[in-house]
Amino acid sequence: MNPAVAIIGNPNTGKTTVFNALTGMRQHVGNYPGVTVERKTGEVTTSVGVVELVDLPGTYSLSAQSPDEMVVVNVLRGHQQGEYPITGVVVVVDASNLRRNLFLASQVMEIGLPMVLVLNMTDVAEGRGIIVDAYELSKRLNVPVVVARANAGEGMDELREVIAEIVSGKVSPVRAPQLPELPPDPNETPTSKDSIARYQWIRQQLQGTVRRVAMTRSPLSDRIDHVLTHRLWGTLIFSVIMVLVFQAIYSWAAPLQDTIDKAFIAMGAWVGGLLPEGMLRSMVVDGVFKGVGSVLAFLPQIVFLFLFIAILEDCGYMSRAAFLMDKIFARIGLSGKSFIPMLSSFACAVPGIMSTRTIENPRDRLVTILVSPLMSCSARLPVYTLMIAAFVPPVTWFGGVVGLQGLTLFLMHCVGFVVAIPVVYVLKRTLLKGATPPFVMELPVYKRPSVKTVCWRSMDRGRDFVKNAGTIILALTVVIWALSYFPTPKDNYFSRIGHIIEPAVKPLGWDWRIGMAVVSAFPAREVVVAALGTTYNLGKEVTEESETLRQALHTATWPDGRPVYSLAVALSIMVFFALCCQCGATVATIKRESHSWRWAIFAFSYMTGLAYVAALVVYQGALRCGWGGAL
Amino acid sequence: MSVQMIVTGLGVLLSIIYVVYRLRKEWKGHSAGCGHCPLKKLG
Repeated sequence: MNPAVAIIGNPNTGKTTVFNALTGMRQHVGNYPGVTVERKTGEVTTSVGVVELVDLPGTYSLSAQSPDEMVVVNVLRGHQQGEYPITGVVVVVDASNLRRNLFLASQVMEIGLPMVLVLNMTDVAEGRGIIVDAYELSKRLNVPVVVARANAGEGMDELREVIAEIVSGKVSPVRAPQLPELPPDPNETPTSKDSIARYQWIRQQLQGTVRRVAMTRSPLSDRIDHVLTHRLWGTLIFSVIMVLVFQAIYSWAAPLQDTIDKAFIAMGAWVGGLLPEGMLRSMVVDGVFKGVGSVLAFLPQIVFLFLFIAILEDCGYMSRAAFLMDKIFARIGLSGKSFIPMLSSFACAVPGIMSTRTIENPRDRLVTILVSPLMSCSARLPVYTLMIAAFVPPVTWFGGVVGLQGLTLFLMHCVGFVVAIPVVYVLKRTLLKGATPPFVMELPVYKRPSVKTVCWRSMDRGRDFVKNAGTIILALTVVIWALSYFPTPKDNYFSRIGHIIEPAVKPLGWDWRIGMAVVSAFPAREVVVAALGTTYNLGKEVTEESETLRQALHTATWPDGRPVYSLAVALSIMVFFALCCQCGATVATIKRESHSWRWAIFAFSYMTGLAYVAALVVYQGALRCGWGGAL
Repeated sequence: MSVQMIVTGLGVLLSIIYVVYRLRKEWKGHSAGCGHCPLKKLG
């Protein structure tokens, strides 16, 4: 067994960058037994051999109030089940904010393990006129200090050497800090007294080790924040950025999407030509190529979405967006701590729900869990883009920079967020009453996004999407094909069930095919595209000139010859998808995190009910606006 | 029974088994299997 060293730090100190720089791709992600706290380990090659590096969750203190902090304390003390005994600790601190960062370091020192302090983000500190004397700091704390700029890889070789010294026993266990004695004060709790003493000790350590150079102007980051976090301008800029992002997804991904679409049609026609007429040919062509091909055509949109999200996250802008939204949520009774899981849910609700574990108040945590699935996750993107591309006219303004299609996509992503506001309001005043907790939010400094990180994240999500399409979506599509083919293609099980449910979905403007596609999408949302692709193409002659799914939707008709699809129907489908809880993984995660079936069933029921009512209102409203005609 | 029928039947059967397996796996929490999730590697 390799010796193990833990890496710890406050959020936004570049801890993960240090971890990635040391371990490269040799990482393992798992869970600590019994709790839903992520366990990440990696291997570091040092001069004395391979060392296991355990990445602990980012935390501000070791007060053990949330499940994350409990795990950190248990790992460091060697009490965590299933974890290696820790030989030493790497504490990553932000050199531009040493006063706050040393609070955690002082608590780690009390554990008495050998420790190294990584003075990261020194370039940011220098930009703010903060000069740290690393040698003096090392002498005062009696621990090795490594000066680093992890994003540029600086200081990593030195850190590897110190880690080697720690595991070979050349670094002595650190002494606990001598906190000053405070005069007795009946108004102070033991916790607040400890904090005051600790900050006094930190001030003593920093006197003479940290120097501030007078800056002629405030740091650039602060000047940008004056605008980007402004209630009016900040919100306006955020909206403009998002509209541009969604428009870019549309404009840039469309040619690639068409190419993939046509490639699948051509492949289907070629494979179909090799197979004899019959059920196998129908399964391969109508099920696999038409179904899975329709979903895979959205790969460029997914990659572009995550590319933009990664750029905005990596440069530090997403934290500003969270700050802006925190103001709105504070008014309805939730703090910014609740907004961060919601922001994660825009990618996927599962990690979003799991990240609510940082919320100490159980009622606030539950409210956040219940509204997080309303945020528009990336699985909804194929549905939105399909409907928008088919039924929203490609009108553009400002020389093609802003378009109606991009704007509609942006608005669809706002639907869940806007609906979450009254849902939180009602929950906080009925089932889950409670005061608004205070929350102090840290805004990381802006930095140039790392090309490697951004590309890696978007490619990783793209790979997941392809893998998903090739596994669960493929399997579900084959099942849907079988239901649509037997007992006979004309009178099949899919249409029989579809006709039974049609009266329930007809008020939303849907025919039985849409109804069945939506029902089959309950395990995973993207299946709706595959189901539509299969059902609208079943039995049609497949050639290289065959129509794409978008064209098939335009030609679909009711038995009396009226077209099924219109702008009103497209809006009704999109609103339903925006609000409905169509994700087996999300329901399972709610059950696990709330330890109750009751809340999982509640979330599923209220979201599905809300989706139905909203889709009904939107469809009927759109009909009144005259959007019910064929396009 | 023709080869076509056997291959098709096998394809449908394997698909049903896979769907049940994946749903069961997600339910038990071994995998956050929506596919968009960075935590999919859990367990």
